[in-house]
Amino acid sequence: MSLAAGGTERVTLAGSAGGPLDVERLERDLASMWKAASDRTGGTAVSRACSSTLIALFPPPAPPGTEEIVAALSRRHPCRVLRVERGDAGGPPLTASAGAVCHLRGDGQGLICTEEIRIVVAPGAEERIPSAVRSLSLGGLPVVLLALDPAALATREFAATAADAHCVVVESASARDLVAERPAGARDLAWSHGAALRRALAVAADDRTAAQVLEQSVRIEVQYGGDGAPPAAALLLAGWVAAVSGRTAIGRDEAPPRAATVRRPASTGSASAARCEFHPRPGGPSGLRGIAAFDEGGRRVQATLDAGAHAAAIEGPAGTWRMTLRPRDRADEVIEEIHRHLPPPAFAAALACARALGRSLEA
Amino acid sequence: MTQRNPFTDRLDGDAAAAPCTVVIFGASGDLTSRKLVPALFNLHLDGLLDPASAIVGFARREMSNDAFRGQLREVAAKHSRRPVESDTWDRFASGIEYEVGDFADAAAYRRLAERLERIDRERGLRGHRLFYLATPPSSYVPILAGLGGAGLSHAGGGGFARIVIEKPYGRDLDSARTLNRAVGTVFEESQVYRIDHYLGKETVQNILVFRLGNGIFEPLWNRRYVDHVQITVAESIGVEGRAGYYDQAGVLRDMLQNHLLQLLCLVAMEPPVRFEADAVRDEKVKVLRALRMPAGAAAAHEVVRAQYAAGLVGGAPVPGYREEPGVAGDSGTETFLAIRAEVENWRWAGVPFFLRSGKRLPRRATEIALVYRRPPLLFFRDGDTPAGRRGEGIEPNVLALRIQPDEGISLSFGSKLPGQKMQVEDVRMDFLYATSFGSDPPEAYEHLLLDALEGDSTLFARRDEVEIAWGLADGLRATWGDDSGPPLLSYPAGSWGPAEGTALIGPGRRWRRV
Repeated sequence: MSLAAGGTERVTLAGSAGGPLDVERLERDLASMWKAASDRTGGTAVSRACSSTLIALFPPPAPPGTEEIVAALSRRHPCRVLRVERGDAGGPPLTASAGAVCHLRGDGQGLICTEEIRIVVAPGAEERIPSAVRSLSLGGLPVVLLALDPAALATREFAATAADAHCVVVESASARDLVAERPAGARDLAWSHGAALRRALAVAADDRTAAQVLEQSVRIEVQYGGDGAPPAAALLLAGWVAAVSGRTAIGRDEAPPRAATVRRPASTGSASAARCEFHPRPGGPSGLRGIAAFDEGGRRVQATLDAGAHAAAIEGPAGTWRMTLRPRDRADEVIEEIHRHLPPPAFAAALACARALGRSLEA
Repeated sequence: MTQRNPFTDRLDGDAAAAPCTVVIFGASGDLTSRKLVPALFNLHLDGLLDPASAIVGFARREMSNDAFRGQLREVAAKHSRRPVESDTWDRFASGIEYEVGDFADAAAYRRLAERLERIDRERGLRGHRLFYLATPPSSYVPILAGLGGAGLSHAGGGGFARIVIEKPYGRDLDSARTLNRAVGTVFEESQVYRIDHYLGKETVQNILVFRLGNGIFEPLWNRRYVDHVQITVAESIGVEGRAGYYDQAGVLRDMLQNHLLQLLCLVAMEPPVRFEADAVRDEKVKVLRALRMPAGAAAAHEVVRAQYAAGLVGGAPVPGYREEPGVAGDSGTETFLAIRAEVENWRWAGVPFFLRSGKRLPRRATEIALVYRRPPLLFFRDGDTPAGRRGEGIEPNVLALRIQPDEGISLSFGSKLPGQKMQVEDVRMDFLYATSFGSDPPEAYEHLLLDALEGDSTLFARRDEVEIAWGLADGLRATWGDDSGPPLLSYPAGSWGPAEGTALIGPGRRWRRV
């Protein structure tokens, strides 16, 4: 063993060789693996850790970063990982192999190991997935379904698997995905991506004038990296500002692409409407870059992330300051969503508004 | 009351039971192959079966002693939890013999008696005999009559004669009483060991140790703290060649009348005055007497019975129950049962006991869970639950006794998530037999056979216990004929039963995923 304490190096233990899925055999093999684990790691103490069953759907091709997220999750949020992957035609409907992934404990005294079961699904056998994962989900522990490809949301196996899960984490990529049906209570990482900017605006709104600007804004600008259509995270961020200020009705917009208007349903006041604009920032890092809200008098509240998203610059009537952000990667976001018992009430309102914005933009 | 040899008490370590001849009726059957012979072999390996002991198989099929030994070696190699090696097997097998005979043939029992006397002489035994009925129940009465007729029910010369009777012990109260009467005409109650192999499981026995051997749990084991109790016995298999029996039994007779009620008794019983057979069984009987099963109009919403349809289990397609070989196409036998019962006594009044068992469920698992009341107020939340501060938003504490697989005990409770927020997350504290003690626990049949050899009937059902349990099962079954009773529903194989079963547990509660 030559692992550095707390490092990211991994040791793997083989538990069950690949073959047609046989749940009983797989569980027996894993039990044997745990019994012999210490011998296999040269006598190093091995702790089996598990706080949930994580079902990770890997459609072909898996979205970039999926592999890294799952690996990070098994280290930071120990769980039995069920990796569901698509295989080639011609083999058994479902094949499976199992083992464990171990990391050295923070104090260097022994290994923390989590189980990983890889299920390969032949074309046409997708309907077997829910049954397989139901039989392999551990008793007495929550089941988390992770689907990072929005295309997965439309599949029958996703719906059936989600019905059994305690927590469903999805990733909406675009306006179209926001419209897709999703299980009630599903957490959306597109919402998590906006956490830093929501926090920055909330800090800004501690100032009464800034709060007024946000509330009475007539224009909301969201900046994002890339040059394509606004991502779901941008729509959700704009939807959140609109929903918090009571604007939930969408008006038709005659304006240029990537803009739509939100209104207060029962108001005719001059500030009842706000125009949401989405501004791509080609060449920079992808993801959300910033948000600004302007009132009728031209006053502005703005929050902008730096290139590494390590800090947010906040500008408002009361001045300008910087807020240092806790580094969070996508695995952190997933873990936060798993620990969140329910999606926050603000999410539902923001999602409804974002969906309407998305439909308006696509129209 | 069972008489025990006072000189065997308090001996250091495990001592072998007195040398004995074990006579197995139904020696060519599945139970003998899969359970009894492997169990006896492992007792032999552990030195708990006296080397002088003998095993006599009794069955209809013609077979020589050698052929019988060869057959047993084959099955032992397949089913023993430890390897079968030549030298140990040869020592074990030297005491194995086979007696061919029809169960209804009096002459066969006379031959058996002669054989047993010879074995006693040759192996220096003192006439100790343990008869094991591993046959279909229809053979019980002829075998009892045969044993009685040949004078085998009462061993002479200071030896013992005991009989172990496998379930199903009757198919209703009437047949159980008839069988008890038949047994009682040949054997004293103290000679009778009605086996329920669930009671031989290490974790089942540990229920009493856990409750009564620790100071901190028993005070929390009552209506004041427990919201409800869930007992689940889930099987992923179907009828597996037992259609003839199962279609007559259903889950009510196959699981509820025995395993589920036995587990319930161990959870709900009062501490016995002593850990002795009759003291323990007296307390179990009190629980059964206090058990209120759904009856009358209540049965319609407190019982869910269903039969599996075709589906997928573990990712593999399986047929529906009515498509299983040997099952009638219009069978009305239930393969799933969920029940809300109550134990109407001082300790448990008002605490529902939810019992659930079924075939073709997603996993094979048996678990007893005590689900505790939630705290009256919830302080530690970031306000992201609509339940506010009334406590409904958090998971209740659960004490789960896992009988199989992953035998052990877990306690779940809320813990603060690391970080600046006061956020509560459920965590689980686990005790696993396999890792805590490092060795495989003995098989249930090893425990129970040894107990029977030693004359300890604590883990076997008494006559009154069996009859009360059948009375409860019959009462439940009687509601099924009513128009207002629970209908036979359907559930896809590989699911956790019909939606009605999930809903039975009521609002604010949910079945544990086992």
